[in-house]
Amino acid sequence: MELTMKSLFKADEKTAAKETSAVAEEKKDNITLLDAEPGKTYIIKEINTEDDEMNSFLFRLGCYPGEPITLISKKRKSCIVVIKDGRYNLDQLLSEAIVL
Amino acid sequence: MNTATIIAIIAIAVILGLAIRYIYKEKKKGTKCIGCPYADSCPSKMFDPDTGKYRCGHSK
Amino acid sequence: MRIAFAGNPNSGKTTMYNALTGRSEKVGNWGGVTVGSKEYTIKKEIAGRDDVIAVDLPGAYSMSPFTPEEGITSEYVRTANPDAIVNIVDATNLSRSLFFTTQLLELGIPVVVALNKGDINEKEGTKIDTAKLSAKLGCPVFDTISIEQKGLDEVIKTAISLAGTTQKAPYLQADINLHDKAAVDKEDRKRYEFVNNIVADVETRKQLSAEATKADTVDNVLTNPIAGILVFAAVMWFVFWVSQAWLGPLVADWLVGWIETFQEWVAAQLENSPPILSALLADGIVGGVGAVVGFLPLVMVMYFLIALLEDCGYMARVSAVMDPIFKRVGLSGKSVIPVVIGTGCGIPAIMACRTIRDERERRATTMLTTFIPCGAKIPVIALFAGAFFAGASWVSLLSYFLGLVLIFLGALLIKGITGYKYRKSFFIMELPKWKAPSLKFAFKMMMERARAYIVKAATIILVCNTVVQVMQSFNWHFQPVEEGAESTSILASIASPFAVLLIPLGFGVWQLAAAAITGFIAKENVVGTLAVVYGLTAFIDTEELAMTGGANTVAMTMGLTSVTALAYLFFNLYTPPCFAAIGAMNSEMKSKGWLWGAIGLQLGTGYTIAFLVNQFGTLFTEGHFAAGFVPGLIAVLCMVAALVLIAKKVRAHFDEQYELHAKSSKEGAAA
Repeated sequence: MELTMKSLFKADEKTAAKETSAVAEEKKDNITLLDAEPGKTYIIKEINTEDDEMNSFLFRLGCYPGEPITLISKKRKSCIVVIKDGRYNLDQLLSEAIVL
Repeated sequence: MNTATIIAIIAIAVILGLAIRYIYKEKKKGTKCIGCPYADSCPSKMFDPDTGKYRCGHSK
Repeated sequence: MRIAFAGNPNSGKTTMYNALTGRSEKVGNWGGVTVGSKEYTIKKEIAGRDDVIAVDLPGAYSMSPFTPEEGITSEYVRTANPDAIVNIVDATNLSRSLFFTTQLLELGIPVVVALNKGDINEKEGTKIDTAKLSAKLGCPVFDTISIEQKGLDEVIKTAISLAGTTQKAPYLQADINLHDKAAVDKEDRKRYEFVNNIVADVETRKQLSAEATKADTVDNVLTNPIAGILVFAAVMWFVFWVSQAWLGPLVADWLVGWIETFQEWVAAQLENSPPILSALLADGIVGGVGAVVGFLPLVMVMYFLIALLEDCGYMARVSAVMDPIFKRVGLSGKSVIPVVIGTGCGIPAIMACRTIRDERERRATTMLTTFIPCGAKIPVIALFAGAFFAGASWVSLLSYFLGLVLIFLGALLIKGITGYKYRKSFFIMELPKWKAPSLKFAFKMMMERARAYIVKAATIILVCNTVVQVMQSFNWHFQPVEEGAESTSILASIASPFAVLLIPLGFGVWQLAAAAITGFIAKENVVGTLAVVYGLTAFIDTEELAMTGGANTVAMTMGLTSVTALAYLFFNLYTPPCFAAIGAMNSEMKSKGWLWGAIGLQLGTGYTIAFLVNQFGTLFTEGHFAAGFVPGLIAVLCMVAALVLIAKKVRAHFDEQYELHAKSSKEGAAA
């Protein structure tokens, strides 16, 4: 895990993407942030908010398919994630919209 | 009329005069809420009813 | 010459602006504190000349706006042609910030990058190669720490020297059709790739941002639905207790003593003058203003504590923990920020609603946020808590949480009236890094608010008190009112009709009605007017409180029981705010219908709450309903009927609109 995370922020992004997507692929099916495990870094596969403006807003924060996202903690109706170098609190709707 | 009365009348006139002058000056500047530290960025001042948009301040 | 400050939310633009101009605009450790643009001349000793104007803009993540306040920024840099742009970049989140930077660089206006928050990076062991970054971006880059005012001179001097030149962009967006979503997306991805490559080149991190830290453990507790709310309640209680039951009154007691001595001295000097003069100067001006100023220490302590809270980063966590509750009633977690700011003043709270994206949510929040008692209502609360409840701090806490409950109920009501159909409402809130609050900053904030409070007391409140005193001293024939015939005064005859309406609420006397009416000019006026009409000044007297335990002079003079006092207090707190706040509501809502709806709702709420408190309070304490139960009930029922009628009308209209929408979208799909 540590290896994965370090490489994420080191120069070569392609290998990082490969390694982390391998982590996600272990689970076979697509999962959303709500089913993810806290403390793990995932690669975003898809974002389905059904709201173009929201999608592009998330994009500008660096939250778009192909980018890493780390789940820090999870509650019943919200979760805290790391996108790029910032921590965000997401509500249930958004967490469900982010497919890993 | 004694001295105290005269001083009191002058005092009232000066205090009221200054207060009203201050309010008048602020109102002319467009401030809605006197003494408000946010007065400069107050939406009621920045809002342009003609365009329905917020002025950015550069149109001053 | 104009220099615009642009950058991501919470990157420290306003802190830098304040340092450069010497202003004290509101700052706080969360994104979206600045919601409008501000401009002021930069100090001469920094700029080297006196014609350089700094323009502070709301934070934005990119040139395409998502919320209204982001729009102000992109419109400004696009259309107002500033001579230079200082792009404040949060060095702790370089990869996100540079996206906006590359867009700014494309505008052709010279850009200077201020790499801010270097102190946090130093602590975390993150290094950024400034020279390399500057070469890659093609613009000067400086390390700055705006809270310590480090590196600001260089930024400004460079920006001034570059003014008039043309910026070369390191990355140019390809010529694409901006309406083609896929093409725009592709372009944006390319831009991010470009940014990611730069970051990989210039940044070395010791502590990875994805690693869990101690702060995360704290956040985990604070955003927990149960623990988080308990902590919030405890924090608010502490703020009220310190400001209104402990430290505040301690200082106020001393201050009030001096004011009283001064008032007695003035009255003594005027012993041989006409009584009207003594009334005007000693009672009206000195007494009335003194009564309001006496509460200054309470207000100052509260502002100090609130400034500490805003500075440390707690607000974002409160907003996160409240989101699920707010969402249930049809608002969003973003509505929490206005609510919290509203503890200081309703006007910036109403402005802060701009960060809410959905129009209905935004208007509903604008409408409801002033239920939270603002700083100007503190003297009113403190007066009643002191006179009738032995200075208990639970009165303020109750007022605050009742305000919150009213916001929830009001939101449910609005949801019902507007026939709000379930619509996806997303909530995302950046949790900024925790920061030790600056005592110096909080002190500065406190003094700023104190100055404003005194200015208000010495102008608006002073004039109002004088007018009230004159109206009270004369009758319609402009003859002095004789003792024992007070009800013939101008004030009494104007306020009496209103007083009749207030009988079911338990305070149907003209003095109290007059005070409530003057409260619409500024809420502190309630205290000022009460001081004038009852000839009281010393509202805070801790010694007397200890001795008489509530049944003191103030309570005796006003002739209220604790039940009616509470009803009167709530009436003043939850009726519409001051005219200035109503004006702010008007310009933010941009709809006369919503504005009148808001005023009507607030009047109705204030009346109903006071009615319920008085009638049921009397029922419990004395075993029977208070006077005017039936007329009051009819009035409340009329309000409910009006609500139902409005709801029907709005819903019919809404359905119509909804149908139209459905039609047009079908047509759109067919085309």
